[in-house]
Amino acid sequence: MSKIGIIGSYLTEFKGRRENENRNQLINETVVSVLEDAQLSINDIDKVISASCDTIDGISISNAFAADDMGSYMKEESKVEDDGAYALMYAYYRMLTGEWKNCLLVAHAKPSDAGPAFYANMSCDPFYLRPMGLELNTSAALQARKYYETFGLSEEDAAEVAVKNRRAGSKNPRTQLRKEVSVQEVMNSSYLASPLKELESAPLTDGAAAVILSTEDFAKNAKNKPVWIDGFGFAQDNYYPGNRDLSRCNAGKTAAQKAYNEAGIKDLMQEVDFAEVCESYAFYEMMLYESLGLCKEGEGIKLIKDGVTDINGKFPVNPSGGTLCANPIIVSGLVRVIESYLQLTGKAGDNQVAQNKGKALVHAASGMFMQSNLVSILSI
Amino acid sequence: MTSKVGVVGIGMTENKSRWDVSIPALYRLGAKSAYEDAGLSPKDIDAFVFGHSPEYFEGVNQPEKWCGDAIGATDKPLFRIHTGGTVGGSAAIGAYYLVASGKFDVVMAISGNKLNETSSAQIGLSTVYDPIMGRQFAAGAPSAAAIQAAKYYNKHGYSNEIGLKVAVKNRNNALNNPYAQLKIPDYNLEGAKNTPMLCDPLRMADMCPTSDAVCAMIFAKEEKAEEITDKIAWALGASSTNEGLNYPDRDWSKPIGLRLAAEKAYERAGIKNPLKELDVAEVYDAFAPQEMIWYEGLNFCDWGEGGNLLESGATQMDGELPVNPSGGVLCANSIGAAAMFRKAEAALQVMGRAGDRQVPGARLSLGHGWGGAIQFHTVMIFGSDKS
Repeated sequence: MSKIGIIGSYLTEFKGRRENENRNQLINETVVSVLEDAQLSINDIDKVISASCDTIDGISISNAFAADDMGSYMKEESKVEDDGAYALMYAYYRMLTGEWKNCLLVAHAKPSDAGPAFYANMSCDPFYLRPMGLELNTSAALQARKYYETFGLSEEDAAEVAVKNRRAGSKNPRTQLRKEVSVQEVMNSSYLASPLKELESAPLTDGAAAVILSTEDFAKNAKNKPVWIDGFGFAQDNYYPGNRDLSRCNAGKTAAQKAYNEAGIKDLMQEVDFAEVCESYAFYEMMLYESLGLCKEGEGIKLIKDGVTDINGKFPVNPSGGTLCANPIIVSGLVRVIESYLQLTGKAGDNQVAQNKGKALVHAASGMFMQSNLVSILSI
Repeated sequence: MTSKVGVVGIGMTENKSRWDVSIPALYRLGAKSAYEDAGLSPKDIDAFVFGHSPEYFEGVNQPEKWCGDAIGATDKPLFRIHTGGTVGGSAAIGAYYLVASGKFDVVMAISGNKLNETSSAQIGLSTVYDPIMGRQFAAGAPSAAAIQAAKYYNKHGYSNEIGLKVAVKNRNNALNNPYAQLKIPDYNLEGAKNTPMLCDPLRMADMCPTSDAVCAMIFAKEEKAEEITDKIAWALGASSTNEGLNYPDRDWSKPIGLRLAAEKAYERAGIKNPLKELDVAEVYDAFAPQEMIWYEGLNFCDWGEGGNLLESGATQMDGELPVNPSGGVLCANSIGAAAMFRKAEAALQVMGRAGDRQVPGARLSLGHGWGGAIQFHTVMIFGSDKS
């Protein structure tokens, strides 16, 4: 079976509002630039897969009027309505069949046009959850409270995750928030929904990202050194928060186990150099350590306190600064992939981490209460 | 292709307007029907590919999150594909490729919509157009299909009533399909001509109905499929394409995107002469004239010959290549499930399980889907034999 590799990537500038560009301009910039990065022409691409969300775009079937800018005119094409990392997963399995050589993958969103609260509340069923007014902050706050109380954590503990990621983000020229914060500053920032405060929550971000995937034969001769996809796992948990133990991320655990099986990983810490995860709120990162098997349940905080997951630690998590420093909904998971690709190829820049195994873990999440999770292992 | 892939189970709900179930409950009925058909349960499914058309129809974002539990996908791999009217086809193709990758043994594709939740599906369809350049003059799908039909009739000199002959053919076929919505006894050309004009040249008879429905298909890798059943529809080739925007010189009556999808799928399935080799086809005839236009895109005949192919009787139930034995989209259109119904009906035909709408001896079939703003197409080929 042919291996599938990433041979090019592009991230747009991430900022709270890309005021002077519309959605299609963002897509166009991204596609033109990723082709430049891989030194390919659009004629070398035989498959396009995009990730976007109609509710954010304010357009039904939102890939329909993006074909010009996406370069999908008269090409085989499909759209995944979820995070870009899911589109990557889908593209990967399709590429394994050998029917295509180069696949262009684009994820884009301008949540500043729609408002993330609207997006999340529309994801609630109209009968039970929507009338409660749940959205991203309030749903995560319920989960944080449950997590803190189950394992005896404090708000200061979560603040330390934000401090760690903002410190890493301050070195990353590609991210949005590049200023360090202190525990005290996090604690003094205003509550969005108790116990969650502004500085431990992901910002609002507009942006787009793209990668080019190639089969082994093409990737080996590519301009850029390829990063190979070793495997994927993904899973979706129960929808209703009342049906779940919110102090755990079961779907993250299932996704991780499937990815480890596919990639042949037995001991994550021993075999992988670092991880990039989607922690839209600081406490999620600790919960994810537990789901990914980096530590036992309730012990995520220890890894933070011991500096294990610091950018200079034994197993850095989110050397890019993570989603706490930039969170373009729908694109964030693909950003984790691209940040890992840049790390593995030694192109990360000031936030480059030391590696000796040449492997990275990537995590993406979607849905309220982190209902859906995806894990992938990449290798150089 | 790493693994050969077969369809081992099909689930369908009846197409109708229904108020007895919620959206997840409708998906549950579709999934349950597929589980029962294949003799499988949720624990046998390795992954789910979830299809659903625009959120604007029912007002729920990320419906796959809400519906996952109802189809048995809790704590399982599930993701959503969304490509408008083709979504059912895109989801089926997604499940097919997951199995073909060699990494999954059994995958369920499920797709649907509950269109009666909205006051008009046309509101959701008009928001397809760009908010700055196009939405001001958008008037739903019929206005676009009318332009397409007028262009087709004028370019090739067909009468405005030839589309009604497609309607008569398909509506009579639908009488044999227990899942169809429009079942009108003694449907004839005279009656169709007397239906009101909706959007010139399209009459009411040229239109599809508004349905609530879910369709599901279970795909399995070769060895697994043969364990599950001896009536397998082998998926032999697939393609989904994008024809792009409404650029000024685009001819809506000449679907070059569909021709591309067809050529790719035929090449993968080893088909050289589709009219001769295919035994039956199910195409996405949301508006009657489109069926003739799709004949041409699918290379059943040359450009401009679709109307003549219809008039020759070749696509009647007893013709050389029966098209839409189920009655097609003209008799049932939930949008979200419609393109998967085409694939599922095509699969049932080569399994020899299509009941009263069975084309005798069918061994090679095609299922088509159309969507977006007249630019997406999906094509899948199924066979009784593995190659």
